[in-house]
Amino acid sequence: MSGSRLAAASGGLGAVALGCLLLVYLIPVYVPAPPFDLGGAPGPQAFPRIIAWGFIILGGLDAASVLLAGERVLWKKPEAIGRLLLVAAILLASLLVIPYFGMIPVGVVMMIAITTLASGQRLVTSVITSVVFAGAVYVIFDLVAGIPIPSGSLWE
Amino acid sequence: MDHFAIVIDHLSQPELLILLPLAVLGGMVIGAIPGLTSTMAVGVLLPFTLFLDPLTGVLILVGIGKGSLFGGSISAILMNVPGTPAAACTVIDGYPLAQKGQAGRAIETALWASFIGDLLSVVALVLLAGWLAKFGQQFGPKEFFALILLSLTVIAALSHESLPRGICGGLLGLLLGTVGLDLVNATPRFDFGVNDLADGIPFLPLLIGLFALPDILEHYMSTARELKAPKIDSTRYTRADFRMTLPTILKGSVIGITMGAIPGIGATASTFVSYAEARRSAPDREEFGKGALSGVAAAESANSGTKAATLIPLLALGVPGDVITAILLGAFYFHGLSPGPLLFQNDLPFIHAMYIALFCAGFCILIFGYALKRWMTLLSAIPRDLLYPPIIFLTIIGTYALSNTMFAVYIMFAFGIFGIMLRRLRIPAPTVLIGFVLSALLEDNLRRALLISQGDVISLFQSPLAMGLHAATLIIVVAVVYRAIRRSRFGKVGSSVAQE
Repeated sequence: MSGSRLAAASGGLGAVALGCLLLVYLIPVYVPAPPFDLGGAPGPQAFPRIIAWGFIILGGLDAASVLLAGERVLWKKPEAIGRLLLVAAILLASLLVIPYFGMIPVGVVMMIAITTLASGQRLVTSVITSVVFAGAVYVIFDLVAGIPIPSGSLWE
Repeated sequence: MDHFAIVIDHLSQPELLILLPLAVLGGMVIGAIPGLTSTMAVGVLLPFTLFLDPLTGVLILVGIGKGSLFGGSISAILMNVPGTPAAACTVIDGYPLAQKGQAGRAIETALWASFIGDLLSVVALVLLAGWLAKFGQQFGPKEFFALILLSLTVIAALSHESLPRGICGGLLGLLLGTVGLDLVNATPRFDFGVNDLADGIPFLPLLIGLFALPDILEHYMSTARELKAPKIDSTRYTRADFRMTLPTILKGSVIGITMGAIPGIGATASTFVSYAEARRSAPDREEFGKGALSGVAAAESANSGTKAATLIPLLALGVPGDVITAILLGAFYFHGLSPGPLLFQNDLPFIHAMYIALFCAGFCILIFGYALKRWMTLLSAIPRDLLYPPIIFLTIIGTYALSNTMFAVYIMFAFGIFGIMLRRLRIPAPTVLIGFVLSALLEDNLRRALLISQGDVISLFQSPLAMGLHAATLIIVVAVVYRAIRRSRFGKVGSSVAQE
């Protein structure tokens, strides 16, 4: 049966790589040792170092057991990944424009885009549900409860 | 003001009186809709509860969790699809009963079993939490370090596929918990020069990103058809049924309470233990799997029995036993409360008000279950394509509302992508959350203990309590490793294909 053995072991191999990266680069550069004496107690680098060794040992164990057992992972169909990427792209684009246009208008467009483009629902249904929901959220959160909603710099 | 008056004052908040029943109802609806999980719901709603009084805020989250446990049984019985993982065992006899035209009787059985299981679970919480908290007052840094190490064994129970991979998930959580200023020396760690990370990775964006977004994004990868709204018949759960199933319900509740109070076991495992026990002791065991009422009662009483029981270690010692209690621990911290012995010492009326509200929430399940079961069956077939975009919208608003900055929202999105990657790598996300929640407590207590003993590691074992806790950890670790080895030797013969 088709499938990738390396992909099946990628969790363990990734953990080993992260452990090595922590020990060699991230801890020495991003966790400075304090300039004073700690009285025999472990410093701020000790706990991350223990974690890094944990990654190396357990990640190695996992990768070895997966490779020895011959486990394989089946890839998802390209169209499934395409839909996921489409939704993620819509979401990311929305987050980037929210500071300019505000949450409510961007939220309505985002909900319509996801419902019609990724799910294939009818445009009328998605417009009605999105506008009603966004309106209800605005009234309940902003007007009644006073919970802050990004308003958008263009309208200020 | 005396103790009783403060309790009444807590309980008479109008927002609590309105929102707690709504939370239970909401939890039931969420549980009844396959694809919406209580973890997702609690994560999405947590930011909004921060604007409420602490008792109301925490109880809303508990109410959602409670309601969803019963709600999960509705779709399990009617559609053969468990609404929650804990309802997986209810399917075995619930769906055959529905096919025989007894769906109404099966749902009412689930309702009564849930109600009694939940009630007994709250009684156990009331009786045991205070006692355990008194015991916890004797704890110093080394005992707390040993206790948190013991709680980390929860990760083993959450590592279904591979123990080393599950522990790697826990380590990831521990590592993420080290970001920001180190609590002992005030040294910045892994902040990469970003000022917003000086206080560490914010809990809520991480939680929502890891638990709500991946579920939603993964939905768009599947081509599964939406479910049709089922119909419910008019059969009832009679007094004779009640008398017949009561022993099973009581036994299931005790199993649920016992397994719920032990961190890491959770509702799903307890339902299968309870079901197996009910089948073993039943005179008509050949009926199990074909539509035995006792099968539904055993599963539902056990899963509801775990609910309040998981709060015992959380309230008494500040130790989360599952994902929901890990989220609740975060909610307590956000409201400026630290669960554990000190909470019992400093704010006992809060605890007592919580007990009373939990009893009331149980009655809400019974009332709403009877009154609204027909409506909930219709809600269970709402297309997820229409539900998920508004949920995404709510996650963004909730995350933004927390800090009034888009930074938290970007962190949430990043953890959503991270959550998808974890799923591809088959690393369970709950292990990351448990590690993250316990990281600061574990490191802080370890370093304090070693600071007191001037770096003497042996001192960590030099107290009877710490020794006992370390021994318990060792026993669990040995048992888990032994089970993992046995499973890999006997369970996986030849090569297996891990289908995603």
